[in-house]
Amino acid sequence: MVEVAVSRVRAKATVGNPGEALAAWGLLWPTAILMTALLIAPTVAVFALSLTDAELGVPEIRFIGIDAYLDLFEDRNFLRSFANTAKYVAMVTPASVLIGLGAALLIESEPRFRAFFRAAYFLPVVSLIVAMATVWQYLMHPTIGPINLMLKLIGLPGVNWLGSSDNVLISLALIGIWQAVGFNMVLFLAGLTAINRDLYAAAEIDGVRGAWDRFLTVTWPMLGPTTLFVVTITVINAVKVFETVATLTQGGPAKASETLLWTIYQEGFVFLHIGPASAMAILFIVVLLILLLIQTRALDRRVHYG
Amino acid sequence: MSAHLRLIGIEKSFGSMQVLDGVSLDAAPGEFIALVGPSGCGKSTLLRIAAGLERPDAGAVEIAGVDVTGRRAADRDIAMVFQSYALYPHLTAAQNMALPLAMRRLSVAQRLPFIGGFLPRAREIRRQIMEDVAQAAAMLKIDALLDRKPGQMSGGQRQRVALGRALVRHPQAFLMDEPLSNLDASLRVHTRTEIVDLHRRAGVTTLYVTHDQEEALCMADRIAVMIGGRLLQVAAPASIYRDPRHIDVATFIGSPRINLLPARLSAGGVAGWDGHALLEGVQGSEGAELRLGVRPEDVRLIGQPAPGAIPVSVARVEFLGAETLVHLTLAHLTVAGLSEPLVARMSADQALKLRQGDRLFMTADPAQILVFDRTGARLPVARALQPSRVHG
Repeated sequence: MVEVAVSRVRAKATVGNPGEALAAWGLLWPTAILMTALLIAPTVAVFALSLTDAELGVPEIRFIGIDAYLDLFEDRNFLRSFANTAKYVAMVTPASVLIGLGAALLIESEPRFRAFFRAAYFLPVVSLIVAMATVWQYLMHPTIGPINLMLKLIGLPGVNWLGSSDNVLISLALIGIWQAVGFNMVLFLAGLTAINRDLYAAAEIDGVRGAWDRFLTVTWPMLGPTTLFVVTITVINAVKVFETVATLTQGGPAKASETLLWTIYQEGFVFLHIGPASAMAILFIVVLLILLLIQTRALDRRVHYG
Repeated sequence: MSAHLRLIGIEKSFGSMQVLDGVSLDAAPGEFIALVGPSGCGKSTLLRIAAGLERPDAGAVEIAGVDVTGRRAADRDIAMVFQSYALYPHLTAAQNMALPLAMRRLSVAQRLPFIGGFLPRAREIRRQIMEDVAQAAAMLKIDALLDRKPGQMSGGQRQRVALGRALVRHPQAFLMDEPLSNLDASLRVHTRTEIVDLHRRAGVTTLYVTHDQEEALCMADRIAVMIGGRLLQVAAPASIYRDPRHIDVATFIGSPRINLLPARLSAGGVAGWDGHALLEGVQGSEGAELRLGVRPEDVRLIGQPAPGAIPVSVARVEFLGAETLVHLTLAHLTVAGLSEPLVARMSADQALKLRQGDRLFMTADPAQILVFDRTGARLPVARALQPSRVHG
């Protein structure tokens, strides 16, 4: 008898009372609708379009299966833009993470002018990148640009920053680093303030004397979760590089600065090839998801201790 | 190995707030001193100054006769256990315990990962370190935990590893900052006997900060009671309890709290609330206001009115097994300066007949009454008057 009663109570508990379920749905629907309308439905639509030869202005649409994807792997333009993006990410991510960390450590260790430096480093994050691009264009101008003028001043030859296909990706990466450092620094600063002060006291008592040992024993391990997050965000933002390409180089010279988003934009909105552009967009999403998975699966357990 | 630890005239202010006001404390080699006081009294700051984590504005710290005031914590050869344990979460228990040894015995080059292991003697030193860790782990019975990280341990286990990290180095002194306050009640009681036992075996001078007066009473060789940045009394637990030098010590030590009754100094003695003389031979000017302290176990409850006895009624009878606490409120009169509620502690048998609402009279054996003047200082009593009819 008792057992029956208990199991009945349990059954009731798992079903939950209908009011509660209703409340749950009530709270869920705004997010659910927005997610569906703005995220899931467009992705599904893009995926559907990627299986067709859709072209803007052409009324007929044919289903071509995965041909668009197969074509992409033979499309030298796409492969080049894929490689360019990978190079760009490989340059921007380590540099902006390390400089952001360094800046955060310096600002944290010196209370004077802390607010000033924090604001100075954060400015690129809040400034309009399209507007700042014109400033960079001026700075990097081969003849009247202050950077080259300064190089000349110390007797070095000027560099054709944005006009040479050898340099253009590096120049864009420099701007990308400048853009990302401030945000990374703010994240690292937040991570630093969250470290238990007792750990530094314990390290001191344990005989950890120098700044480098202290960094290795306490700061760096404790910043693990922050670093993982910073790297993730930086990679995602770097993969999405677009504004500087669109405003400064338009993929040139000689397609040396073609990046994934720029190529997708060109294909879809300039050449109006919706089908191939959709396939690229899907590949783009897949690449991002794989990067995210690697980071969360492989590294998460190593930085969140216990 | 175990050293004399002296704090001499320590002063410390944070901004305009003075936290420590000329504190001197002397711990003999191997002694266990509990530094006890309410939160914010400066006891943790004093411990951090002893450790070298904080610099005093004035005063000196001596370890084994050497002035270490200017030395940083890393050079003081002391170990500390933190309230938060402060274990390195990315290291295993064994690595946590090995770290202070590695920092001291290995050079910077020898500590390098991979390469360091190939340097001369590095392996041998590492092996010795692991042996020492194993020995300390055996002492604390945490051998089984050595490969676990702090996140995979319970609070009690982490606490042991933190103790192990302090113990492994054989330091000259242990400093402990409320090491038990994050444990649950039953584990706390268990662990405090273990710490005392560990102290007996290791014989290391220990300064133990706690806000828990019971912990201090049962663990320490001597208790230093700190209130408002001053050490009010440093003495063995029994004399701190029975013979407090200050009213703040009397109220802080002992649970339930000591009962405080108002009194006045009359010619040649002390008069209770109703003018009846209770004690004689107290020094002071006539008419001075006094407070009398009576421990709950010294309270007597009688059925008949008597001179000096206070009419009370039973508010609550709290049965605690071996003993019973009787909470009392004043019956039909107010006594200026009397702090309610009053508490009497008695054996369960004695309290058997007491019921809530019972009207009784409260008195005490004059020999057990502690007399404090207006500033809170304890006054000596030459002789207690014979409790004429009080025992009724």
